[in-house]
Order: sequence, then structure tokens, then C-alpha cells
Amino acid sequence: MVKLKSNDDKEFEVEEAAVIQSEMIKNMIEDGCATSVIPLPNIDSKTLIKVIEYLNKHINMGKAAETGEEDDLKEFDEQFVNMGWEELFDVIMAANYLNIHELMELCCQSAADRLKNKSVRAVREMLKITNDLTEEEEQEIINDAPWAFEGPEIDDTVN
Amino acid sequence: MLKALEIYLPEKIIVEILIRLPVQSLLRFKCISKSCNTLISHPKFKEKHYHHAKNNKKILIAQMHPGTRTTSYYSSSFSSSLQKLAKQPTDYTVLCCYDGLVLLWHYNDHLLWNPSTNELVQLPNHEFPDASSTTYGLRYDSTSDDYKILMLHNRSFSCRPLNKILALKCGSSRIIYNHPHGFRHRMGPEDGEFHWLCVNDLSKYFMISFNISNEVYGEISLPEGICSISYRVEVTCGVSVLEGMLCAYCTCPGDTEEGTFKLWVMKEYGVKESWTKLFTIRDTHLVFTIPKYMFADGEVLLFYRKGLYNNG
Repeated sequence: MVKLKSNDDKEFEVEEAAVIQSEMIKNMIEDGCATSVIPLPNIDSKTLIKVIEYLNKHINMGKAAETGEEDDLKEFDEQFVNMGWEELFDVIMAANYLNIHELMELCCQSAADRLKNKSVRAVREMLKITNDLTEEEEQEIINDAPWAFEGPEIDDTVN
Repeated sequence: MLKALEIYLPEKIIVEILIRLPVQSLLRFKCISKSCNTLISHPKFKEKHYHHAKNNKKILIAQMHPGTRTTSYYSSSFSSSLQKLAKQPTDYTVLCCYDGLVLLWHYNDHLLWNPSTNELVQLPNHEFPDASSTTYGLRYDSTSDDYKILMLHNRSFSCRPLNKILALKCGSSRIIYNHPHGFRHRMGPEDGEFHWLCVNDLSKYFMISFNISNEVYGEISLPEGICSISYRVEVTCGVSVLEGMLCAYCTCPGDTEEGTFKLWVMKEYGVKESWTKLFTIRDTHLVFTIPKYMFADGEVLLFYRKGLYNNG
């Protein structure tokens, strides 16, 4: 068992087979730096619980293909990313920090799917970006590919 | 680079998300801010996006409407539903595709189309022979960093074929000689190399390879199952590439009712012994079948045409 500590001082015990899906922790274990509790100063307990849930489910990824549990995993993944926008980014940040490749792929794909049809205004709000383009510059970009700004699928809502 | 985002998200994560977006969204998101515009327009980002897209293949579906002689275009990423494309060059017919680029034709007009970015480039028409008697192939030549179009004239064996190569960057074409005799071409897509089938004087099939960089012809052995067939109009044989392997296929509409489709792959390039039969399909009224794509688990997507001859 490996002990992880979130930035709000909560400790979690995780099986080694599950936790080594994190490249960062795997390296720590290999280097003998994981003898006591591993502090994770960038991750709060709420996010860490989500990450551990993912790690436990994906513990035997290689075996899933043989035992026909692939569909089950696929369903789990679909349910897993069904979370709020802010929460999704907390998990992405944690997956990036812990270096969990598959989790990173899954959550970035979900983020991309949610942004795909969004309007420029909605994306600015969702990614908290302030527009610093002048009106002329903006028009120039639109004129380059007006078709990319048209279409019934473009969604102006923020969620 | 992404100053406004740094407070919230590191650039690495933004890039990880953006490379998963379709080009249409990216062109729109250039408008978000200066830094987003710079990031999305950067050649490094384009390269990353292209690399990601290459591992997540999409197929282009062109639907011909016989009545109006127009075409509708859709894209499918296999995992999600069919999407109608924003731009629809409806009057045109698809001649060939490669690397996400499509060569289109309408009477005397030849266009090169990138359906992802919607860029359309008119090609010099005097360079093109009559489309109805020509087979087209498009490839990327890494030696000259250019796309090249190979045009094979479908003439009967006795004529000297007039094959041409058009290099897109310099816009010049040349007639290439020393082409082995043959006709009825059906080309297979592969990096830098063209493959197609020809028929010899004894009505037997053989496979030609042509290297786009050094323009050298070669011959590659076919599986026994195709070597033994004699050319007939109703038989469709062809070569293509599935999961990086050269494949050969053949549809023989049955003399009675049932026709057969057979598919082989060449597991080791150029080694005749490595031809392996993947499967045979038997079906009634089979007109022709063309393998289009092989999934990682070995499943094959087929273009499958059934029906009686007289109603196509």
C-alpha cells in the first residue's frame, strides 16, 4: 500500500498496482522515496478521490482486453468524465502533475468535446481569457474563414 | 506564449486540449485572444495537431445523387456520428484522396481540396488529360517536400500509355516513359509509393509499383488466387493498403447466383510467401467490394455493392 496526502491534509491508502499508473509516483517508488506518506501539495482531497477512483478501476487495464471487460471500462470512462467543467480541470491538472497518461487523454478529450461547438464568447468565458484583439484584427481572422463562424451547431452557452 | 491563460491553465494543457479539436473550431478560436491566435497559427502547433489527427483517422464520404449529378460530403471519425461538411463542392466528383487532401474534377476543372480547412486550390487544367480515361493518384514526396499527382492513362495493351506526373509546388508536369503495358488501373494508397494492377497479353494480372521520388518502376508478386484469374470485365481486382500492409482483393460475380469476394494481405512487403488470405465473402448478386480501412482489432471496413447488373 502507498499513502498519499492531499493539500487539505487528508490521507489515502492506494494499492501499489493502482498507483504506479502515475509515472511520477512510480519513479518515486523505484527511487525508494515512497517509504512514508507522499504529500501532493497541488491536489485537494475531492480531486484526489476522483483520481484514486480512476486508478482503482483501471488497475488491470491489460487484463481487461482478455476478459472482455473493455465495454465495462468504456462505460466507466464515460460516466467518469460526466462532471462539472471546473472539476474536470482540477482532474486534468492532477493527471498532468501525477503524469497519468490515460487519464490525461480521457479528460482532455472530454474538454475538447465540450469546447468543439462553442462560440468564441463562450470559450473566452470557459477558459477565463480576456480578449485583447482589436475589432479589426478580429474581423480579419473571421474574413480568413467565415464558414468556421457560421452554422446551427455553434453554441453560445457556457457550461 | 499564452499569457492570459497562465494564471488558470499551463500552456501544455491548453495545447493537449486544442490538438483534439477539429480545424473548424480552431479557425474560430483564433478569435479568442492574441495569444490564442499566435498559438493556433504556430507551425509547431499545426504539426502537433496534424500528428494527432493522423492517429485518429476520419473518413470522407461522398454521396452522389444520380438525378441532379451532385455530390454531398460527410466526415466520420468512426466513433461519433456522421457530420455534414461546412463546404460542399457539390458539382465535383472525387478522383482520389491522400493525406486528408482530395482531388476533385468537374468537366475541365481540377481542384485540390482540404475538407478540414476548406481550402480549395485550382490546378492548371491544361496539365490534365481527359478524366474519363485516366486513373489518378496523389502522394507526398518527402524528397522534394511536395505533393505529386500521377495520371495513368487507361488504354488497351497495344498502345503506348501516356502517363504523366504533376508536381504541385512547381506546377509542372512531365510525361513519364518506360511504363509497362497494361490497362484498367486501380491504385492503392501508400506513402511515397504507388501500386496498381495491370493485365498482360495473356489476360493475367500483375502488380506494378512506382516510386514517387526516384520514379522507378518495379513489379511485386500477387497472391496465387489472383495470378490464376483471367481478366474479364465483370471481375474487379485491385490493390490497396490496410494498416500499413499491401493488400490485394478480388470480386468475382458468380456465373450462377453467388459471387465471391476475397482479400489477401502481404505481411512482409515484397515477399511473395507472406501473402495471407484474410477472408472470403460469398453473397448473391455481389457486384464489387473494395476494402477501405482496417481497424486496430483487424476488422475491415468494406465498400460493398450488391444488386443486379441492369439496375446498378
